[in-house]
Amino acid sequence: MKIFKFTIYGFLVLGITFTVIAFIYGMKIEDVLAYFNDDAAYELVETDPITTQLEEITVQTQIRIIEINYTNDIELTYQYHQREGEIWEIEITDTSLTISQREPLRLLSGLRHASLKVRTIQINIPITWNLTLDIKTTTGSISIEGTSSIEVPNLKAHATTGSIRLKNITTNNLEVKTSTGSVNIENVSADTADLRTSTGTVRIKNSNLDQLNVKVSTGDIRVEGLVFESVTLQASTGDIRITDISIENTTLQFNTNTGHIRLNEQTVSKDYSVVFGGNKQLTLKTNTGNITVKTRN
Amino acid sequence: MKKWTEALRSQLKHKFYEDEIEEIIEYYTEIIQDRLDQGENQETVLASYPIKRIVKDMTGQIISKRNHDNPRMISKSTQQLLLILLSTPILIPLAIVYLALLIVLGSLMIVGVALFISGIAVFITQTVLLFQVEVAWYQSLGVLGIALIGIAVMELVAYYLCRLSYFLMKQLIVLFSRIVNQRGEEK
Repeated sequence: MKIFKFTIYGFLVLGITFTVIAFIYGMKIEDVLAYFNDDAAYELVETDPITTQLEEITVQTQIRIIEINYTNDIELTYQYHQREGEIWEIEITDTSLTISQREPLRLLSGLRHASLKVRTIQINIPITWNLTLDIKTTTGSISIEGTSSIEVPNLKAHATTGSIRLKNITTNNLEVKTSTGSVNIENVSADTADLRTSTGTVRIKNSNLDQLNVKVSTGDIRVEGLVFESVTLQASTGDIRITDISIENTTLQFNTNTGHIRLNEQTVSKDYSVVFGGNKQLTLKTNTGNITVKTRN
Repeated sequence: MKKWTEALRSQLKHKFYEDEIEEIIEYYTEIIQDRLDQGENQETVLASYPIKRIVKDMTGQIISKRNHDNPRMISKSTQQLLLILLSTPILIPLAIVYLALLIVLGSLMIVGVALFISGIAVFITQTVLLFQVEVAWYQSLGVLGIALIGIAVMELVAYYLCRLSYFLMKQLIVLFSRIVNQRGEEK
């Protein structure tokens, strides 16, 4: 063990010495950052705009950030950067666009990383196109944002490690799943919405989600200004907080095992249930977290 | 008496080291001899010291006295302690706590080992990549220096993480074996 420690401390001293010498001879911080930056290995791919209206876009990537924006243009444009060895498949039919990216096995990737800019697939959709979106990425975030309330027949967004953000969208069925990222929904309308994450937080703001189902393991659920018919929010160890919500004509069912439940500043029982009549349903369940509900005045 | 001592030795062999066995036998032989000297019947005296009970009672005490200067001894004591805790209904909640803490410390050790391996892997790949790019000599030296600092820091963190979990495992053995002893004395 002494030899091991001696060697490691030797490496440290040698490393500091080499670095100091390098800086004395003119190395700059920018040089170091540039060395660890892998952007030069990526090349921007020129793609032709799509002018005929599509019905569906499918994107499936292993390591990419996916950004979808709606614009006033009359054609769909998309752009991405490709690294040597990556497998890209682009399929365009009369009704659909499919983009898929797979990573090759790299044994010598070291600590070099590309910037967010080159790791992003940018898709710009005309605001007049009503497209079904099926977006999946393994490592990377997904962002879909409309400039006004955009109509999407069905929307699926799945990420394994990455957050998902949706803004200004109207859809029939919304399905959002991520393992280790957060989910942010703002100004979204949907008939049914199914949102799941393991370790992230789910935030919903100013949205109209008729049938909403949210499941979270260790993150929190935060809802503000939601219009709904039936809502089930389930967390395992996280808190559930709902504000600016109307509970008229709603059956309430709140349950926590070890946390506290507060309804409009009043503490209620750990297994709270009340029927205000009507068909609306608000079910909130958490195992060890707290539940807080503040209704609209 | 000799037969009883041999039977005790045979049972103790499965659980204890040679010096520990001698210490236990010496202790009980002395107690029994004292009672025999006071005129008590040998059969009655020996019957009051059931061998299985002695083995169980002494396990906690012996474990708490051990030096635990090698991983093999720590592993043996941990297993024995867990068995005692699990075999006594009143101590089962304690067994669960002990097991949970062991899992935490085990995870800490795994993180240390993973850091150790990944540190070496990153250093090798970074050094190989260094020869594939054309930069000024002092820039190569600088990157090599940073890679050396990186591997040193990672290996040191890994080393101290493993040392910490090893130390805490030893402390847990002492703590839980004392609790077992206290409970035994209360009974």
